Amino acid sequence: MKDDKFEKKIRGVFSNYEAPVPPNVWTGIAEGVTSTAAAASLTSTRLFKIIGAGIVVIGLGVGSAIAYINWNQNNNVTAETSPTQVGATNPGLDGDTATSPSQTESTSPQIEQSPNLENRQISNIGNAHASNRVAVSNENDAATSNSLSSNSQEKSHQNNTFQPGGTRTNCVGVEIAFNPPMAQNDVSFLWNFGDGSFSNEREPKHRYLKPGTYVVSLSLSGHKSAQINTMNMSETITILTTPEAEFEWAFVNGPSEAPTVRMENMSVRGDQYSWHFEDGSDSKDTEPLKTFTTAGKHAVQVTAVNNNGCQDTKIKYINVNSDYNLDAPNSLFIGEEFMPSGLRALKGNFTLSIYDNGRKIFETRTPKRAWSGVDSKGRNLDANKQYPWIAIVHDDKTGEDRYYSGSILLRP
Amino acid sequence: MYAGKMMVVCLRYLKSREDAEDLLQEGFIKVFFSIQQYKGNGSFEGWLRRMFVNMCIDILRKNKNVRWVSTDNHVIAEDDSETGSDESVPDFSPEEIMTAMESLTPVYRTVFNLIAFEEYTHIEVAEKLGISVGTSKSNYFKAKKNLQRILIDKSVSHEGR
Repeated sequence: MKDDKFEKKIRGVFSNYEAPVPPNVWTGIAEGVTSTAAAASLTSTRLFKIIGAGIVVIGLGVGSAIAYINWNQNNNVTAETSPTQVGATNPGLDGDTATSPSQTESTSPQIEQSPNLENRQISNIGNAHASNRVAVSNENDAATSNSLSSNSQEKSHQNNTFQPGGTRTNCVGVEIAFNPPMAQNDVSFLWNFGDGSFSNEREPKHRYLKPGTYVVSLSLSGHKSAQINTMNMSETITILTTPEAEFEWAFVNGPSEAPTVRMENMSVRGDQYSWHFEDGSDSKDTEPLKTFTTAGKHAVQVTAVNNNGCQDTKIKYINVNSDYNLDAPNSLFIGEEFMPSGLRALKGNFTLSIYDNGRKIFETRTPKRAWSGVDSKGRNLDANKQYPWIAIVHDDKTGEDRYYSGSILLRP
Repeated sequence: MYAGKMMVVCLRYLKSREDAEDLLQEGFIKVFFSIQQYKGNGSFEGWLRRMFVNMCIDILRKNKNVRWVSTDNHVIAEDDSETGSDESVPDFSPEEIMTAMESLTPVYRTVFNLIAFEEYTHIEVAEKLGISVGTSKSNYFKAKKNLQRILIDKSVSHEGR
């Protein structure tokens, strides 16, 4: 053919030409797919509804039913539908293995010893417990971040069943369960979460790490009478911004004072914050103070909630290695004075009482007046005997009244 | 997207718009359930187009009024003197070309489509349609000549107005 310019010319005319497709054709496709699926005997009437719904959604898009196919192409996912082939032919797309390195913050346990606390070891265990901070900045879409705490009380938009043609709303970082809307055994699953990650699991769980709207597609492939049938459904998931809860803490007590920690809220994107302490107390303060008088690992939790109703929680543990009892001495030589260092250092008011055989023999409200081993009438008391004491302290910093008690041995 | 392009394919092969729309609808349903046949080799559009071309040909084959075996002699004029210079071929819109193609016989139209648009060889066309290579060449030659004549006549009549 010498004169192939004619062909070239008319091919050029058609190269990007698209003929209008009347809307009734889309409707016909949606109905056709539904009835064809019925003919293919892919079980349960419920399934037909599902397919219908799924197709309607697909059909609404500009790309129509082919949107799915186009997605397949763009993502280089071949539509292999044998259960063993799905995913196997697509290395790297297997949702099970596409896990990023853990995003858990790896702050190493630091010993932050308060410089003025003499024998008291108080260490910052920091993030020994997995923080539930969401790594929003993580660019790896396939990540299944481990950085969410197991006990986080994330909100609520919980609806586990995939709803073809429907919409769901959830929060960044929340684990979302995807249960297929049907229960067949001889079907293989390909979930496309719409954020670049996939799964072949039957009931996968997925966390979205960025806010946005995602179209989740489920391709089911089933073998029926030597025929492979594939059907596709989609659901739209809107992921809302979630706050990131974070705080720092530091000891703010002076020498001989009770270990007191000031929390500094470093959360972002939250609209409301609340603090919770393991003794059951709560605080809405921006920078609450907390005194720990008993040895142990003390949990402090901050919860950040935004107006979307999404929340994030951060827990840190503050380790106190010994009880605090006002730094009181255990014994006193006759002629010395008894005034626990903790009371001398105190900024607030206190009442210190000394007892002998259940009777109060001394009381003071000021460090200037210490007990010198005498009774209420100024007589010397018996030596080699334990005298109980009780101190009730009002802490101006924390606003709390605290009760301390002990006993002191009077030495000759 | 693809639907519009496949609609073009259907319109080029089938004479009536109704037939084209019906095929588009049935075709996508069929594609939907045979997507697994696409192995990822080559472009998806190419695969989709082949699916639709084959479906168009199947429809034409089922039409008993369409005679595939040409009774024409197989002498092919290799020169293009009668078709004139290609540079002189005026510009046509896709709609004009499709309208012109409607007036071709189904056999001519099919062969022309396969050769000119799908870029099949005559051997492939012969295999596909079950005709001889000579028939394919002959049909194509005549189809093209007819088409050019229709288009040029049309443009002349346009200019004459």
